[in-house]
Amino acid sequence: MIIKVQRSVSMPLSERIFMVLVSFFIASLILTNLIAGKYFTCWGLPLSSSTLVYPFTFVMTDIVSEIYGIQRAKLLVSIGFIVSIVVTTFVWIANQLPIDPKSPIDIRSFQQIFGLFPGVVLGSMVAYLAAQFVDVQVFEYLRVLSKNKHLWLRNNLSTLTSQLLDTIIVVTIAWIIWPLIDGNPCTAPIGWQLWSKIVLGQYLFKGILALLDTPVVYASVYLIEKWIGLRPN
Amino acid sequence: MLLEEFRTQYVSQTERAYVLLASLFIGVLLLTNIITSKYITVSHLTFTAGAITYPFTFSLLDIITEVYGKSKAKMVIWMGLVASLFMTLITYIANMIPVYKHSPVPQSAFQAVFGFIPGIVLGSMIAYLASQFIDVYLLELFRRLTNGKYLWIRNNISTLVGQLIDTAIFAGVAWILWPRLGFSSTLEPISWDTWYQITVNEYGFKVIFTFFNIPFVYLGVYLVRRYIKL
Repeated sequence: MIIKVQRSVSMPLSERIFMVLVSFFIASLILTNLIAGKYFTCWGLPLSSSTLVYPFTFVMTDIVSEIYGIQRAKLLVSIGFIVSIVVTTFVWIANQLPIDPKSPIDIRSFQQIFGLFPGVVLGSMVAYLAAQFVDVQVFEYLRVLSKNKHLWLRNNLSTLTSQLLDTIIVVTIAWIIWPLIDGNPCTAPIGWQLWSKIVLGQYLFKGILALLDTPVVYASVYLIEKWIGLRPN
Repeated sequence: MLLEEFRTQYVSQTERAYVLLASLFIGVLLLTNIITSKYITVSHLTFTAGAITYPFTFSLLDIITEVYGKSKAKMVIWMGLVASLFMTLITYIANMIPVYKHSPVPQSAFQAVFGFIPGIVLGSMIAYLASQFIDVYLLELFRRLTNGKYLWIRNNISTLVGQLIDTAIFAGVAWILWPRLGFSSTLEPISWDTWYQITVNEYGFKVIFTFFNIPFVYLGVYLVRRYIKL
């Protein structure tokens, strides 16, 4: 009886849109990690090609948390975590399997992309946790220091610090520590000079992104709420 | 008011499990498209690396259909298509951007892996449509031949033929037609001999997998139902 009811429910529009947001979030998350290794030059600074798709992950979680509440946004983040681990496991297995000489992708190219993949995922997870932790600590320290005043300043300073830490950790683990641990002959760790350029480029990009994020989220939230009828005309 | 009510709604375990299954489906589907151009050797037979992952997309879809019904399963299929197109667009742009000279991943590797993506996504769409049409056509043809009897035989034969066509078209479009179209000059098409081997092996694998899938789906459905307390 209950099973029948559950099965025959047709999806309301709000739920469908939620699933669209979920799908884009998951796709963006995986793509971000997959294409991270290719860098291009933007005003003289190296920038990862994942900057094309990485902003989507933020925009999606922001929209979900604004319209569907913090519970669903948290669900999205933890599911993103699980899917990343599952995908990384499969990538690792696929990379270990003996290649056939007739393969359209040669072994070297495959290893250069997918050999680095676990490092990128590991790096972003460690960076995320560390950044969140430091953000809270800095915020608290500044709160005591400023005697509870200047909230906006505290908020921005703690975010700027934690984002810098985030960038440093992800770049170090993905492009230096992981290639060293993995010892794959097709991938090599980057030099420290390149490291500093990449950190700088990525950090500046994140700053610009934070500014652009707000109007995009505002506009999307307004449109979706109107569409699913949460906003009276 | 309405908005507040919506935002604080409790996320039921039913919904949690659905979002997780749908997300896993999309993640594994995208990954399959990306890794499938690496061919692997298993006891002297050639398979694609995608053969490790794509069975999971079928199992996940079966579990969703069984527990949540057709409407929610269709939604997942549509989202898989949208996510695949999104991936094609993003990887295409990423592949086109001029590379930085000290990039950790060189352009040659990037090109070799992601250059195949448009062909793979295109191939799976054409193969899907063609095999569905042929499936329906054959089912109808056999129905007339058998005067409406032996439904299970008709059903199985049409599915088996449909799957063979699907496999052959997919491999042909992804690894012969797409590289020959020459949008990405460095891609090498496979030989017809390799195409034949891949088609036969992958098809054999699919047929065998269909049987192994059954206990897996039963177990999955049981676990999900227990979790959501149906």
